[in-house]
Amino acid sequence: MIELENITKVYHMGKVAVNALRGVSLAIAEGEMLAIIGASGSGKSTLLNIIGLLDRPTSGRYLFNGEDTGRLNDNQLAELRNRKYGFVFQNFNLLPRATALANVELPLIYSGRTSRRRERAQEVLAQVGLAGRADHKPSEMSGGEQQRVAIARALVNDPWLVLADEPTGNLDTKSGAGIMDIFYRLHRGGKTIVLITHEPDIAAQAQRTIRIQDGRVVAGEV
Amino acid sequence: MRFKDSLTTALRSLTANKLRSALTMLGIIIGVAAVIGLMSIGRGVEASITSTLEGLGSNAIYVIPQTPGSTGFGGLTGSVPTLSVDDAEALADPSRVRAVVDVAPVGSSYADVIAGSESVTTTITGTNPAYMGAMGYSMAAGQFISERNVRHRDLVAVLGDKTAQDLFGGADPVGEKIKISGRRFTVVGVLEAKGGAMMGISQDEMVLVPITTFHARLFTQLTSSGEDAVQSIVVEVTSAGAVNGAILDIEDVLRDRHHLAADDDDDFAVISQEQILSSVQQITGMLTLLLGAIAGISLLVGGIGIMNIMLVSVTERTREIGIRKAVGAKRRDILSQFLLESAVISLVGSAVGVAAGMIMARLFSRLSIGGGTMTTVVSPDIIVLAISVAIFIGLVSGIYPALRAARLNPIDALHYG
Ligand SMILES: Nc1ncnc2c1ncn2[C@@H]1O[C@H](COP(=O)(O)OP(=O)(O)OP(=O)(O)O)[C@@H](O)[C@H]1O
Ligand SMILES: [Mg+2]
Repeated sequence: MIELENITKVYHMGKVAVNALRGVSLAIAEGEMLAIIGASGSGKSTLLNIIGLLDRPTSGRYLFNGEDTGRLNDNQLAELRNRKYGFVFQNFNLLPRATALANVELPLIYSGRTSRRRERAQEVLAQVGLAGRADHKPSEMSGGEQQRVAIARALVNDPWLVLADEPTGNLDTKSGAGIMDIFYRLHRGGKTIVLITHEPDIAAQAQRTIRIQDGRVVAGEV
Repeated sequence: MRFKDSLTTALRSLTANKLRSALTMLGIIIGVAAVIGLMSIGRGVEASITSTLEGLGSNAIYVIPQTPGSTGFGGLTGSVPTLSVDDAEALADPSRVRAVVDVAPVGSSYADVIAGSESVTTTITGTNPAYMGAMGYSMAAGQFISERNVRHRDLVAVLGDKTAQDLFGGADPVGEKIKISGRRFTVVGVLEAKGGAMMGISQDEMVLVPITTFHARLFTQLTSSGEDAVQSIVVEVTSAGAVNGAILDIEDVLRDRHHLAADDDDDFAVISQEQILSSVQQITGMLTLLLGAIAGISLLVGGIGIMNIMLVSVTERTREIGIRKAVGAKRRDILSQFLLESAVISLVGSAVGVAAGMIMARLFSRLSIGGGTMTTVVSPDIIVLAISVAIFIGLVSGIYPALRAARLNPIDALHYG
């Protein structure tokens, strides 16, 4: 269970302050699939980065399973990101010189796991349909395949929440559909998912949709 | 994250960027090799001079002419003849010089020496039987100049090991004739090789003749008072402990003989082997220090090179750091990855540098300078010093970029570039 209370985020660009979030309150329950929509620059990514613990809010409270994440230090946040969260980016963000398998294995290394790491990584790669591409580097794969590797990496530690910022934004329709199929399947399997999308039909398939406008939730607020 | 995984991560990242790693290492390699190579020269010079001087015997005292009024090595010139054979004889009197055992006058000059078809230009030293013991020589063949040779101004010569080799090759020179400045001499003995050179002058390249013959038949040079001039006088005393007392007596005798008034400066200098040793060691120590400083600077430059490349690499890899942090890398994981990378670079770099430095030292010792070969000494303390400095510099220059990398906010790092 994630609860956001009156979250704001202010960016300072020199002397100009940008209010990217102006008080967002939101709850995400276990097992739900939430789609975030909104115009460009409305603050969707800012919100998702805060939910994914990649960034800290300027003010407001963020509770994860009742625990105030504002009180956690950087190491504790890193641990939460590692075990409870899986992030999928629009531009994949894979390590370019590492193989698909090594990329997927990365979170396991940082969780200090020592046994059966490769097997686990291989298993998750198979789940996203890339069993045969384990030794390929990102540059040797299509965009859709790279995004599957990124999803496998997000899933490898069996996180509580999977976050995705426009996961199909850089993909053609067909590979995009393949990626979305994975998310729908994960959702059916009970995984909690939050994703940002510009595509109405993706939003329509999600269980719940919220619209962000000018740093506020304007529709679907819970 | 386990240490083994940190290490694997660091190694993978180094091998993924072979060129960058190699270039970074090059700085350390050159620095360490320079330290070891250059210091080996300094130490080599020190060692060869020290062993040469120690061979002279610590109970020998040297008297040499000195321009009055000047001090230190600058005033020590052989060109002003103030010492004579008669001075040497006066010093040999135990009632005037305490603990004196023997005194050898040393006249020296350069001349062509010819044996058959071979010819060399070398030092001709005129002296007496006391010289052998005082200078610590021993005979390889034949015998040294005798008392009788000196009395009769015999045309006999004793050859240094190298000179014997140059003139006669492997053959036994004893009994053979040589020509010095056109005069025929009979070789009566060959000295045992001493090895080592002092300031490029080999102790095995010389021809010894009786001091009387030297003056009467070869090089006539008189002091201002009309006595036969010598370039130095070697005084041997009973023990090293007797040296200081004897020096005072020698000064008294010579001032008396040279008719110096109470406020006149000495026209000679009296030096013990210990004094030569310490002043020479002071000079060679400075040489080693200087070479070490030059080498240290190149090591420092290597360190700055590492720092620079590590900084560039942190900037270049900001996104990589962001990705690692996004999936759960902690500060210390990033820190240890970058620190291990620079540790591996400086470790491998200094190992290669040690090897390169030792090869350099080898090559230096093959060079011949001014006829003598250069001795180089690679001592373990220099190796340890070079390695620890290299690793220290490597780590220190790795720490700042590593800290910077570790402190990055994941989202800022991801959005970089
Ligand atoms: N690091 C930053 N520094 C300064 N301003 C920022 C920063 N990140 C975002 N902003 C600003 O905050 C506002 C919200 O940005 P955000 O990226 O959250 O929008 P978005 O809804 O994800 O847009 P898009 O659909 O284009 O991805 C924008 O005005 C943006 O310019
Ligand atoms: Mg965005």
